[in-house]
Amino acid sequence: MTEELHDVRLTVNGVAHDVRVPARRLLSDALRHDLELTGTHVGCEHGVCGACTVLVDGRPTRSCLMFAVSAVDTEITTVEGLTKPDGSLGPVQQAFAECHGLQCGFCTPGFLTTITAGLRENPTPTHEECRDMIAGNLCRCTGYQNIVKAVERAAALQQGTSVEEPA
Amino acid sequence: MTTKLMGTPVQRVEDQRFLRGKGRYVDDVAVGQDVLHAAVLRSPHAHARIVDIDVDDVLDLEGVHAVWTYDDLAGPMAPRMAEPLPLLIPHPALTHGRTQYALAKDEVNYVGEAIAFVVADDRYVAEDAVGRIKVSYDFLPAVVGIDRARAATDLVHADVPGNVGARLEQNVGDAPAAIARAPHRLELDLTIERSACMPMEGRGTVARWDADINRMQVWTSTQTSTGVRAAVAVKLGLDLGQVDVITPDVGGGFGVKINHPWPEELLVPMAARALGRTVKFTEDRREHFISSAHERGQVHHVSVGFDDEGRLLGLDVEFWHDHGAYTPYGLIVPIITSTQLLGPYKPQSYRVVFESLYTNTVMVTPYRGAGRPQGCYTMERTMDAIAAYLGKDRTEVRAVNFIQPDEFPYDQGLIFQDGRELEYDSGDYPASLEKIKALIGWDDFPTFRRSMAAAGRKVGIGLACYVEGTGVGPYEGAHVHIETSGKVKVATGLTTQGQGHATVFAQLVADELGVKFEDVEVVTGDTRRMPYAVGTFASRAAVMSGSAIHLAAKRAKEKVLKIAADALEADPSDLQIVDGVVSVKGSPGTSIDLGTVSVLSNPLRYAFDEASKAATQFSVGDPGKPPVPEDEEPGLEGKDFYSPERATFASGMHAVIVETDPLTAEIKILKYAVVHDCGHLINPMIVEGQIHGGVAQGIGGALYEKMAYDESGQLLNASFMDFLMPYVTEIPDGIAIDHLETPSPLNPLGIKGAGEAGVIPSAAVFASAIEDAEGFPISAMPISPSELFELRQTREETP
Amino acid sequence: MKFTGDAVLNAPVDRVWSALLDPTVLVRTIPGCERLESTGDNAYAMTVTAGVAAIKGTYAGSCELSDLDTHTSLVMKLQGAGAPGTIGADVNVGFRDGGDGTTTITYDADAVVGGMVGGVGQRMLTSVSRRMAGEFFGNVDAVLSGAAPAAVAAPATAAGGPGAAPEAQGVFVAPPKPAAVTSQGEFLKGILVGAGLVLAGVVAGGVFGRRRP
Repeated sequence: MTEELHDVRLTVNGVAHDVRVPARRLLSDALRHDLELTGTHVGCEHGVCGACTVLVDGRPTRSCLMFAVSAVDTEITTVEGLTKPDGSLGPVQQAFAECHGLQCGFCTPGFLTTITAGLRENPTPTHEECRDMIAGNLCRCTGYQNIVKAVERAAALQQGTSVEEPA
Repeated sequence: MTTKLMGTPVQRVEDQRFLRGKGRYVDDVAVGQDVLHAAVLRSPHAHARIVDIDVDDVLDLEGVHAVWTYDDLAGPMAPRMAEPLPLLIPHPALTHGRTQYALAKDEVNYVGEAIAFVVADDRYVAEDAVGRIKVSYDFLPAVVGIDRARAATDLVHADVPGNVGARLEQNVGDAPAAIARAPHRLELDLTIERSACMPMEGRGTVARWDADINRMQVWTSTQTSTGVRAAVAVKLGLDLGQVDVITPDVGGGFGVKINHPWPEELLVPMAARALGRTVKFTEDRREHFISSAHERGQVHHVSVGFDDEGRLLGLDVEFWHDHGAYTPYGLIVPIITSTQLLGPYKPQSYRVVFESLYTNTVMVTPYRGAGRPQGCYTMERTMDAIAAYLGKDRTEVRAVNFIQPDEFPYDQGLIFQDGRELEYDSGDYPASLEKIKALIGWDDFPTFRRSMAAAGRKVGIGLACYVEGTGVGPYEGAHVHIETSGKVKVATGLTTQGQGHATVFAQLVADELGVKFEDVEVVTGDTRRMPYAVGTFASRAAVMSGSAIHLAAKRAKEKVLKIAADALEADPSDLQIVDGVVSVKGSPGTSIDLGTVSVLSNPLRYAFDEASKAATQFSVGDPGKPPVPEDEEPGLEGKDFYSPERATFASGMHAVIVETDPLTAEIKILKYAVVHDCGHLINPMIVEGQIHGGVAQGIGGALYEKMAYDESGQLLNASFMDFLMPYVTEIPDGIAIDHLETPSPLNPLGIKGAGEAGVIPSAAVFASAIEDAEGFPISAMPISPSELFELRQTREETP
Repeated sequence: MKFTGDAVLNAPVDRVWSALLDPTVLVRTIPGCERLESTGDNAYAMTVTAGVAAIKGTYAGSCELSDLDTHTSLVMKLQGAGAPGTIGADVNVGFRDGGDGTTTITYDADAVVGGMVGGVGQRMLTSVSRRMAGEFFGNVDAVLSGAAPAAVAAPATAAGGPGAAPEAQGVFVAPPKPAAVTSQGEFLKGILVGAGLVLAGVVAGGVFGRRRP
């Protein structure tokens, strides 16, 4: 028996893609395998780790808990969409590089999208708010200390404040 | 003169691709290409005989290309696939080692054991097919937990009496006798529960068979490219030279990915060849829980004899190690427990004996720390118990037992996990102790406790010390190649799972060669680039590959200076290399850049660009001599290996202040401090990152994580919903870190390993602090608020 | 790969025996059979299109009947080779009259499968074989019960008799598209090369493979 396929249009990072997918194709798999945007990673497929987080209409969403067909008529942003058009790093990405906020890099895209949305909502977070912002994402490598620093640095970079570079 | 990069926090080169979402992890390989996907039917029972496997219902699915069971492994093409998987590290004491088959033959011994292998057009269909395979079983009793394994009323393997895979005893002096005549004696019973690495990325393998040239290419998320290569070649009946293993970016290993070959690492290449297609396997999280590997579960019994100062006169440790259903990694974990248990101390006599036991659970292979956390826990709980018994300060009791700085090298009289003597090369434990006491505020704590008590709050302080043998052999190697563009290409065979090797090793090459950091590119874990290697484990990469890369760069530099000296008509000792340009010291005008040196190193017949004309036969060369001098090779390369006689010993101490809620028994971390000594640091930012990560994993292991098996061998918490890993909210805001550097005399850079340090003393330090807060012994870890609450109740009921 | 099975057909043994040695029956009942040709005494060549899992292809096969013991047993040796792989099979076929207007056929096959189709896995091959055999006998049963009448009478039908060899030397070619013999969908386009070919290969007169309703 063959599965019924659905023609869906997914708008990702500003670009429209037409794909044919079964109803049960997860958004994470569609992004990775149908659109070949492999920056979004799958860590648990049950919505706990956050590695698969993308922005759906600007809101952080676990793409492993969403069907691709449900994502029509939305604007999706993945980690690839955070890079500037000229190829240079956006402020959140830049902050992670400066603060050593990643080691193996697998969970990182989920943090980057989450923080991008978080800072949009709260551009000047307190230290506690920085910690809160990332409280839904798991990292097994960094122990979070430098990720929190990266959130603060990202906020500073976005504000254009001349905050000291981290030691 | 360029600033040396050794010891500086250089930003990582690998971040450039990771941050853009351009990393290439195993499931990213061959995306968009024509690939078949595999899925595995795994045993739902912990112990059973397989009666029948019925695949009739699979036939109704579109897109299934193969369904294999054990019977399909015994074909003429690869007869060795029908044999059990390799027993990687044999040991004379492992008298009853057992490994599984790539697909279960007649019996399954743990929930998760692979029974059937499906290949289909995509992962969804493959999993559909798996769901339609009907297996009938005859159930056998499941042996779960150390107690039932020891009781042995049921056996995991019918031919392993008592469920004992191995028994190993090591003695230094006569500990039982020393204990018998010691002024004071204590006995302790301690338990640590099973846990697991849980990298964010699970396992995966992609393979492609090129029938035109008879070569197998394998991408696999591993910690050992050469290990997988050898296993694939042997099992599939290929020459080693026909197999290439490329390690992609790996989303964390922490030890679990050192085990090899996984069944899938063999089945995927086998399928690629049989079906003539690229085949990919990517496990999901549940599969990682039930079919990779666990670690940490042990039960210890300690007898110790000591004097009035707390000096260890005799230490006798007996322990039982749960190694799960199979033993591919031999006895490494319990051997490390038994040897590294001694930490920074020198007991006058020591006896350690362990039994490594089978249970019908996932097998046990190293997890960051690899047996050290258990050993450290036992030793440190013993130290605390001695201090409590004598009414002494816990740091004083430790201090009298330290190996002193002038006693190095210190031979503990045991055989270590590398088969060599456990001889500590350098360290300064008294200095570390001073530092950790200052960092945590040890001497001020009683005052702090009183003020908190006045406010009705309960706090406790704990301390734990460890020593870690790092940089074990047999060797690592490196290849450095300076291209005609002046760029330097470096390869080493071990692998990377987030340690920043490409950055750290580039720092070493830039320093040694005098080139710009940006001009150095490092590749790890690719057998095409460096086929001689061991792997990344035991905190060995910086020591082993770092040293090898340093030595290889040195060789390349020697050749550079020789050729440049000739070209500049100077003496090599008068030359310097700065930012990729060789010049005569004090005479900057007389110079030649590395690219040109590279051109000159390879006499050409054919020029391919303007620069290379300089090396063609009518431009250079002495007609009286051969173009390539005897005993030399063309090109500007350096290759070298580092193979030390023994491991080098890093050390450290952790301290923690916790608060326990008098009502709810919740445990909160108020302050966490680390003093660590890993010799010279190549990149302090990366070392600190490793400590942060290790401490977080340690907190997870001490307070949240454990594998919950029920009596029938079902893993009850095989998902992140129920196996609790720490988020940022469970980790303290800031960790105080202080460094000590006692360089290693065993390698040219004086470095020691740092990767596992953060996690080694965690169970010990938290048990110590919670016990201090509560006033009663904590002997089982991890501990949750419910468990602490229960302990309190028990204490109240039986004062 | 070994497998065994049996089938009950609704006809007495003599009719069953004749049917299975009748090329006009066989060419309509062997799923995926496109072409039959006599190549000698009790020896036939045929072309079959078969699929196992996602691996489909056309095989050139041969079949040899021997050890004929009328109404009791025969041995069939089969060979097939095609793009997806190769097959060789020896099949012992037994006939037993039930006495109540039925006949029970038992078959015992020993097959060796090679090439890409061999990579599909033993259990898959066995499962497909069983299905194919089941289909084949279902088809034969339908013919015997008159549900699927012969389209064209063969010039000389092998009507009973020991070791009956067809006199006709005709070659029959099935329509280009292989018969979809089951209602279970695209997957089973044709038959398993091995066990499906097991039963008989025979020359026939003018009948070609029937599309199964």
